[in-house]
Amino acid sequence: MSEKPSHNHARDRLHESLSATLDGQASELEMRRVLEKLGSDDDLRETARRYQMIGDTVRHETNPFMNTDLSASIRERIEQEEVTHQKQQQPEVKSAGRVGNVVSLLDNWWSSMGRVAVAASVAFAVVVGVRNFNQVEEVHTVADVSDQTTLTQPLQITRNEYGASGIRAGYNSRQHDSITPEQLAQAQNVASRATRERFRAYALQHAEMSAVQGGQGMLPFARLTSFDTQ
Amino acid sequence: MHFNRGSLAVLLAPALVSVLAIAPLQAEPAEGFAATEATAATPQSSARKPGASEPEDWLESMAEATRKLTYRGHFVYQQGGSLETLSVLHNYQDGKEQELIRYLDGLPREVLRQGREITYASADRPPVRFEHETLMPMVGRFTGKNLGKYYQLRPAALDRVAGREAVQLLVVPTDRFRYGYQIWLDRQSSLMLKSVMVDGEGRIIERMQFTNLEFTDRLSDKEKALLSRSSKGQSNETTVTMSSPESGNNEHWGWEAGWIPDGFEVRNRSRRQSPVSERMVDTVIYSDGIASFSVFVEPDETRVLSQSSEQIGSMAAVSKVFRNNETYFHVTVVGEVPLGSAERVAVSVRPASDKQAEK
Repeated sequence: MSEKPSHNHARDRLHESLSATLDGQASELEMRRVLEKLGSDDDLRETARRYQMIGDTVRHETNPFMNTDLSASIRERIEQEEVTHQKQQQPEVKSAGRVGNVVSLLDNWWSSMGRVAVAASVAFAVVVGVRNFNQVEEVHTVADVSDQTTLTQPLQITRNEYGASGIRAGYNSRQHDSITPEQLAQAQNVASRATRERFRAYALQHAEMSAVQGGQGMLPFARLTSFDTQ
Repeated sequence: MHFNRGSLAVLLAPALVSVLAIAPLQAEPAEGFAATEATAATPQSSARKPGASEPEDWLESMAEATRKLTYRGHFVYQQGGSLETLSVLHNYQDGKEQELIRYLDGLPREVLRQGREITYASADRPPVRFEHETLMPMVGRFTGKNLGKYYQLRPAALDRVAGREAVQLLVVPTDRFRYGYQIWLDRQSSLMLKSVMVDGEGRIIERMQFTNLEFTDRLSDKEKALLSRSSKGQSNETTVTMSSPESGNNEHWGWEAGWIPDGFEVRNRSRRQSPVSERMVDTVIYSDGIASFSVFVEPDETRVLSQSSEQIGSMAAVSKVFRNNETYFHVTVVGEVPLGSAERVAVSVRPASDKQAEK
């Protein structure tokens, strides 16, 4: 029923590109990137399926990708073309020396696209700083978790499906290179509680605004029960 | 009081005939006939010609009934495996609307609405009162210009709900960015008696249904007192004041949603005290005339940057983070739309381009 947070910076970008691709608004590079990933990334395919909303019986609009499985034919066509410039810029992901360590993903491909930076909250509560975009092995830095949480230890993120995560450090971060599973679990717990609280609070606000608009009577407030039983 | 009953009846004529034919076999034929006679005896709405009725009109009459009738009743709300009982008391007098909704199961909670002021109280936390500082132009629901483009409305059948004769309507979305509905409207009053929300695969997401409903001209003194309570001035109360972003107070941060499902329009925009932090939160509600979702953008101060994408009951809830220079923002999308729609909106939110940053 729910999709648990395992997102990261690159992932967001990818989803954004996917969305743009489905709208026919993606640049060619973006489209290639998306198509390439679609072939190997089950999760992205699932997201694409949701975004694309395949299977509509009635439609009021068309776009070039409507009812098309993006993965096969288009990718095939594009594979025949030169894509070397893209491959050059794609970061090589190396596996980390120790379990739990982070290899930073160099996101310069995206940076080169001139996209606005999107902050990643890699793995729940932790921010990893990338000091230098031209290195593959990075110093691992982790956000100093503030006293508003119960966290007392700096934490390490888990590796994501790219084998790494990265974000331009904007936080006061400090170096750090190990984490216990307990610490990770604690971070996850704090973060998911914070998220739940935010959802609950905003659901109330959404209900209020819906109700002011009127029309569906008690329904907006009845829906709040979902959040109370969480 | 009635709304557009004539046009509904015309469109449903074939369905009516079939139901009437069966009526004598049903358990309570007398009641069914009585209601039918009452309807037949009422003159048709002169304002609208039969056949000129648009789907929007049906929904508009439903919205009007919800606002302008005085009634009390109980209803159940089901989503997933949970079923809850609620009560509603609604009063309309001198153009003013009052409503009390009580959650009868579990933790005692209630929503009191007086005009446009809404107070939510729960046994485990201080009441929250919402105040609108500036009057945003209120566009009612079901008034979307192109509602018919995004939903097909079809009369389906006559039915009985909570002992009352009801007209069942199908509200079928024309794409997968929104859910579909079956709505049962009271034949006499157009009030919504039952509503079922379904996803693209036909799975039921939520169900609301009156179990008893009573229209009345006047409420008892006790009921009036309940509706007229004021929590204002209560020391522990949290007040949420909505101001329009144009009023120039507080911080400024610009953001824009790069993608909004077709047909959804901004219905209201405000900046208010965040319920989860000391900062202000920018709030926009979008609606396509039936479904709605809200986007909340606030600067992060917790440093607990969590992202999540969840289906919570009937609501999609997505939390994302974006960064503008050295500031991190939480983007939260909450609404009764498919999760995919909410996710696409959430990932498309980004800092506004400089030109628009101070809008």
